[in-house]
Amino acid sequence: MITSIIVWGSLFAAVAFTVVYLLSPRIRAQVEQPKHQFQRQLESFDNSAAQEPKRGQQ
Amino acid sequence: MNQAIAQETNRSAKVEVDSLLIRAHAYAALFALLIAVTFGIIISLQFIYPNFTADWLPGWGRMRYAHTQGIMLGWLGNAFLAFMYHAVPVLSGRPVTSRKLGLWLFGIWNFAVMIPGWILVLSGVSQPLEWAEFPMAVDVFVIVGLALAAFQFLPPFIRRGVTDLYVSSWYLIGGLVFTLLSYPMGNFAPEFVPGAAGAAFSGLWIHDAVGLFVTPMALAILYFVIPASTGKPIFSHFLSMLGFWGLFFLYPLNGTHHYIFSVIPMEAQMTAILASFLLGVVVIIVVSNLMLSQRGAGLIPKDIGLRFVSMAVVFYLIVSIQGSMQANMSLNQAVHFTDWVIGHSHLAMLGFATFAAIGGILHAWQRMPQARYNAKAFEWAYWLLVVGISIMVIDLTLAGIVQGQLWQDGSPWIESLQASRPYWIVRSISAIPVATGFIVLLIGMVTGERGAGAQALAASHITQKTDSLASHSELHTSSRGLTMSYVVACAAGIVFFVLSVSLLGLLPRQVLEQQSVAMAPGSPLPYTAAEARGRDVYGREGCSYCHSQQVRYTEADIARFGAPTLAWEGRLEFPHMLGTRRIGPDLSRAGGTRTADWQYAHLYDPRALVPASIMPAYTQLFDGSATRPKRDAQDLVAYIDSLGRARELAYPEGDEAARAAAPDNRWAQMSFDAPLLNAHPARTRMRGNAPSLADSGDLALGQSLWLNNCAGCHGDQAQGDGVAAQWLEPQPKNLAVREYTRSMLADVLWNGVHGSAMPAWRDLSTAERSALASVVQSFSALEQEAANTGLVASGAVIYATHCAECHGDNGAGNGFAAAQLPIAPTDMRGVRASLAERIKILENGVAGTSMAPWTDRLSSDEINAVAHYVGEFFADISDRSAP
Repeated sequence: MITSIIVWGSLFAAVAFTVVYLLSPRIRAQVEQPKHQFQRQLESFDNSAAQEPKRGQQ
Repeated sequence: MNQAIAQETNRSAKVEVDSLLIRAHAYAALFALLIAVTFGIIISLQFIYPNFTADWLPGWGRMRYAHTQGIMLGWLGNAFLAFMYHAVPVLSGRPVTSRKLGLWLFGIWNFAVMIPGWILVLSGVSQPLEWAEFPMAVDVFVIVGLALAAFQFLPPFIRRGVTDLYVSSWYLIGGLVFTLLSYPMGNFAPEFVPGAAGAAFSGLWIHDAVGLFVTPMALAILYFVIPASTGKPIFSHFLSMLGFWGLFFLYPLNGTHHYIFSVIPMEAQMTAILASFLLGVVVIIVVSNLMLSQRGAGLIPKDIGLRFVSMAVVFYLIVSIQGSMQANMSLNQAVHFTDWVIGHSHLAMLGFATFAAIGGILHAWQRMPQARYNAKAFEWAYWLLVVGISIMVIDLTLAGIVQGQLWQDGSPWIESLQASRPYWIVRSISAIPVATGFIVLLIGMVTGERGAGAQALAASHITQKTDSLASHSELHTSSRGLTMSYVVACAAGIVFFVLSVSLLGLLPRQVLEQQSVAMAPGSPLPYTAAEARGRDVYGREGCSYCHSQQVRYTEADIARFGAPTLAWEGRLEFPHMLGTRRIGPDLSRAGGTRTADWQYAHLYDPRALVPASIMPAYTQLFDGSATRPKRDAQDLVAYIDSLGRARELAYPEGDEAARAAAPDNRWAQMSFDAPLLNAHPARTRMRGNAPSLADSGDLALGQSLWLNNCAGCHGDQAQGDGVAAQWLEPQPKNLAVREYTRSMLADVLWNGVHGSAMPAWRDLSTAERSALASVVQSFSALEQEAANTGLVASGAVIYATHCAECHGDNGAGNGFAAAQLPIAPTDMRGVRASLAERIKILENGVAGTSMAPWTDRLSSDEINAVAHYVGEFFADISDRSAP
């Protein structure tokens, strides 16, 4: 019984998250936003490091 | 563009990374790795040359402890910390808490955990639990270290907030929090919860160590390095989060799959099996996303950090699918306890996690202008490691299949060792490229030009970086609803962890306690002081890494070892010794199977008794001879002799009462239905009921069997002068001065000689026993004796007066006193010693038996007469029955 709860609970949560993601462009954009934000942070860090080679050496 | 996003981006540009701590942890990681790998190489060589470290290094088990803890805490722990000092500031846009805290963390992790931990386990202070081998005193410092890591790395994320948190951040946060929760549970609970219930907690930790510590940290690296090296965002953040929550929900529920077919309640086992299957599905999602994120990078990326990470993704896919398959009951039945599992763990820790860790370190290294960087060396390290680890894992997987097959078909245990030897040789050879790869990696980090990493980085970028700032400037900040859903998911993650501890730890404990109360006999014997001390010796030497103490609920185990282990049988086991690997046979029913002199001889020089054995020799437990055991050896043998004793003493009434107490427990009934409580093939039994042998046997086969199984005690030419003969009492028989009937040999080979070191050989087939019998008969150099009716007649009178009470009227060894003797008197109908030997026995007695010297009661003429008389008993008895 507990096993069934785990299976169905996990599947339900995954399916619900997927459905919301697929149906709502706004949610989709929000869910994907961190990867773009992170990419900017990476670029910003690397660019800054290239300009200031001594930075990062505390 | 949203102002908050711009602010965060700006923070990352200005944030400072503490390269001193990165370098400190990276170097510590590599030194720990080289030390741990050295331990691994030494213990792998002992599979091939079991004696080569006998006297000048700590025992095999102790080095195995040092190996696994060194890899997990020394290598991976330091490597992950090194990576976090680079990643957390970039991910959060904020520096870590403080350098001072970092120096404390570095000091505690290496000088209060690793070095003392290694010293202690090597000197015999340890905890016999898989992935938890450092003693509890060291565990306290691990927890302090984990808490300091949480204080060091979590505040930057807390200050930033969870809005738009990238998946690597989630993994780092999850890894830090859940490891802090699960480490105490896995390292302390089994010390206070006995037997299988303690194993349930151990199982959780074994998997949590991989699933909640190693995997999240490694995946954080993969999700960090891939977009950083390709210059493109990952394929889907949605899939990455789906994977993240899937992993954190399901990983903790996997633990019990390490004890499938054990006495742990089937409900818990099924939950773990199911969670393992679902986890496989989640991993496919994660890996698909990671592979799609590398589009355009090529099969073998130019960037060395990405190349290692890319290989880690491949290893992760294979190891995870393998893990899900292993939890399947059919496959588990065949490969559990074999080298398949060792291959699996090496693929996880040396393949997936190590490649991710190296990728993470090199990624940070490239960005440290002051770091030395030798690109050529890293290239070499990559290829050496790929080749070495691939060979090792494939080899061990094949070895596991071979071992599992031999165990399933009931072959003698020793055959699985002999069949494994080529694979173990290849495994040791595969360590050459692996160790060389790690050394070359270290060389790459300490040679080459400073700042060369940045040049390599510039040359390897495979795509033009997109102007993310511009192309996604229209994006919104996350809604409160999405943020809340992540918070809810965080809470759900904690709930699932608690659920896992409840379902797979606390609940099984309660069920097992109920079973113990219902099924245990009235007052089972506790350990004596010597047995309890012996248990400590057993634990400290790592015996449970090769010998399990659980007869599983499988047909193969029941046939080989006997009735499956019941919950109450582990009631004294703090911590449990169930084990997850069998290099030697299971020992849960070892009590009463071998004599003490055999055990001492076997501990002192295993190959004297079993030439093909690879058990390490424990000469340090003896004072120069197997006949002079120190207290540790005496205690250890006392402990081994106690294994299975409580159930045996209560048997069969105890089993019947327990059967009645649990009529609905299908698994317990399976244990009661087992045909034998102790099916150990070497266990000696009283005479009788032996299957007949063929009239003749294959002499070549018999000779081979003799050399592999008998010569150690009886000698190559069967003169009772094998290497081990000097340590055994009674001494092995000189077969050259005896002749045996075939039915007698059938009996001895089937039942052994109860009370002596002569074991039964029930794991040999009838053809093999027939072959062995033929070889034994071929050793006999006895000639026909001339009849001397006068001496025979007078000997009969003396025999009736002095000998018949033990040996019986007709020499069958069934006199009225025979049942009181620890070793049954010789049945002289089936064996005839030469006249000289018979006289020698009468004059000197047989040391270690009840046969005393007769020179103080009989004259030499009388002895001569009896010797002539007993020679007359010899005749083939085809229908032997117990006296």
